[in-house]
Amino acid sequence: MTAPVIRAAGLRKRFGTVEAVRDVSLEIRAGEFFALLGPSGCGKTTVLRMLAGLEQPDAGTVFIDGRDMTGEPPNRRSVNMVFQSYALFPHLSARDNVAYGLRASGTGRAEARSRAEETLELVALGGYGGRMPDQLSGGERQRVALARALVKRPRALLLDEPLSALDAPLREQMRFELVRLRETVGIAFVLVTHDREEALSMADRAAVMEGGTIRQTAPPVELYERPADRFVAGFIGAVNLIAGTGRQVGNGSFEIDAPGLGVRLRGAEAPGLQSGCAVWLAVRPEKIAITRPGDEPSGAAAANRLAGTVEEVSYRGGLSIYCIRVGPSPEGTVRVARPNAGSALVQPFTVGDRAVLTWPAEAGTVLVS
Amino acid sequence: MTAGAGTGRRPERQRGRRRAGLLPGFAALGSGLWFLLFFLAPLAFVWVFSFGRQEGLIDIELAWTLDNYLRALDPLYLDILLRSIWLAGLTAAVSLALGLPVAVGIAFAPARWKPLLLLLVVLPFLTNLLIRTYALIAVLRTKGYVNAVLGWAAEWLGLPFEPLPLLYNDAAVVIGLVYVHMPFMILPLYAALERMDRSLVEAALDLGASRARAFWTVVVPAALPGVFAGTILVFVPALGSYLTPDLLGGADSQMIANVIERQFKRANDWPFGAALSLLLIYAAFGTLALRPALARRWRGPR
Ligand SMILES: Nc1ncnc2c1ncn2[C@@H]1O[C@H](COP(=O)(O)OP(=O)(O)O)[C@@H](O)[C@H]1O
Ligand SMILES: [Mg+2]
Repeated sequence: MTAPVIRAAGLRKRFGTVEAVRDVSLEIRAGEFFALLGPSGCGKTTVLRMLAGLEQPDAGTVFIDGRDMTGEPPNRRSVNMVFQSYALFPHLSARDNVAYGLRASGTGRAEARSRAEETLELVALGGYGGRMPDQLSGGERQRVALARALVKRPRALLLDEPLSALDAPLREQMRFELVRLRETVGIAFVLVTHDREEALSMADRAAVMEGGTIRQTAPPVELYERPADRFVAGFIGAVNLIAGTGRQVGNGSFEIDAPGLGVRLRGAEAPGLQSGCAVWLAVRPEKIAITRPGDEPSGAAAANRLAGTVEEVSYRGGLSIYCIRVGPSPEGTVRVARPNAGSALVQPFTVGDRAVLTWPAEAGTVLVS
Repeated sequence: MTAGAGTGRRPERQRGRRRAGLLPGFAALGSGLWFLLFFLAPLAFVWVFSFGRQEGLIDIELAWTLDNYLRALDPLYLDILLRSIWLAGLTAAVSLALGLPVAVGIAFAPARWKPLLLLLVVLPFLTNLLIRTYALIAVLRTKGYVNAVLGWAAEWLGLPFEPLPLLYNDAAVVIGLVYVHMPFMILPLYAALERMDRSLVEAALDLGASRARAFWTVVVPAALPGVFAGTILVFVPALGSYLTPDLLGGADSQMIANVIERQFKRANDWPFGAALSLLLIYAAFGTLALRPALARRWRGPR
């Protein structure tokens, strides 16, 4: 595998009393679409700014293309940034905005202009070069900002919440365009976002951040299917967390004594788990089968089995969410998502019905934190 | 009980709303009266005087003559008017050169320092202009602080020293005018810079610009509306300044306002003084009218 384009190790940054970033390490591989995902205020922007050189870390190092760039100013780094506000120069035309970086590094006026026009065409803004920023729509401004950052052919493009200022339909469309654009230009994209769908649908790999640290870095499928902890599990999507005491049972499985439920549940084995420690079984609502008592499957598909009463039915169009009470404690409910394959006009379960929930061992992940 | 209180409060709120509707009307009337009484009425007198002829010591004949305006075109007065424009223009230019770094410094200072720094900028306003001007005399005169410091420095270096003639010349007038009008330059510059999106500078640096390049290509264009406003706010009052050239200037560094003052006092020629005053006002309004045009031109067609 090729050397990473960006490698950050042990980054720390403190603003007054706020520890914005503490001990963040990450590697961006050549040409990959990397997402930095986390709730607002978790330090994503600060990490991105440290990669760009707009913020100096209190500790840690930043390597770009294998060269130590810690402490170097932004104009010496071969990465470019797309700002959340786009930060287009209001007094320059779209073309001159895009040409700015080339002019700043000594390219002649004529060549800078023609390359700016080319790059504007790349983002489907051919013919818009003469417009001033205040004559462009939000989506067009964003494309100019992309072109402006791409025109210098950086090793990586850093994007800070690039879609958050757009309205919903445009945002959806720009996701595809960003992915396509990355495939065209072939450089690494580092996308900061608080929107999990954005990260899951666009990224090759994503890092989930919380409280200034990275909780897990993995491809989206892995983040969803095998979250590293309860925070990641819940941030990436809806999840049932069932608390209990863990026990290793060989044959690739792990058992959990769930005290409130009086049953023994099974989850896929995860590294580092020990018998006897407090664990949580994480199961996504759509992985649980809901059946009437007596109709439940058997064998591996029913490695886990809980019985309960339907407490709430919530219709969501393509699917319905059932809340099943399986135990007396406040946490003793399990959420199940069931696609409305047939007609949803008659729901198969209504409040008060008895139901049996089953799921295979590998559908759940055992978490220790 | 609660229902009664609720209904009782209602008409009161309605009355309050009606009163609030009348208030702007009163305010407009008040400011209109004020404007009429203290600005338009005296101006009308001056305007009428400017077409009159001085007859004897206190009588002014309303002749509706243009003689006073024609007299203002006499090279003697035209020369002073042009010199006034030159000195005021120089004052605006020097204020801009000195004020821009100060405004940038304040705009980019940590947020908690800004109120203090802005207070320091306007602090001289709290002192009477006359006192400040006399203080400047103490600084600039032959045995003043500047010459004293330079003298010590020269003595320390073993160089011969001749006190610099810093007072009673055009340079002293410009120094005085710059000192007095500087806040009018700094504040609009600061306001323009404060409105600028900070990430513009970061974007410039990120795109490979040096700090100097980012300053000239991003910060200065952002400050331009402030440059226009500040230049006019300094130029117009500097053009009509009277006290500073009177106290700091030499025999030949008088400005147009000093001539006007002489017409109303020693020369006792109110009509001519009135004509000169009106020419000064027209010049000031002409300059003010430039601002929207400049601003529009810079922002380009919408
Ligand atoms: N320049 C700054 N000065 C003070 N605090 C800051 C500054 N930048 C960020 N912070 C703080 O650092 C934390 C992380 O901020 P940020 O990186 O912007 O988060 P995110 O982009 O994930 O929303 C927040 O608590 C924020 O208030
Ligand atoms: Mg942010």
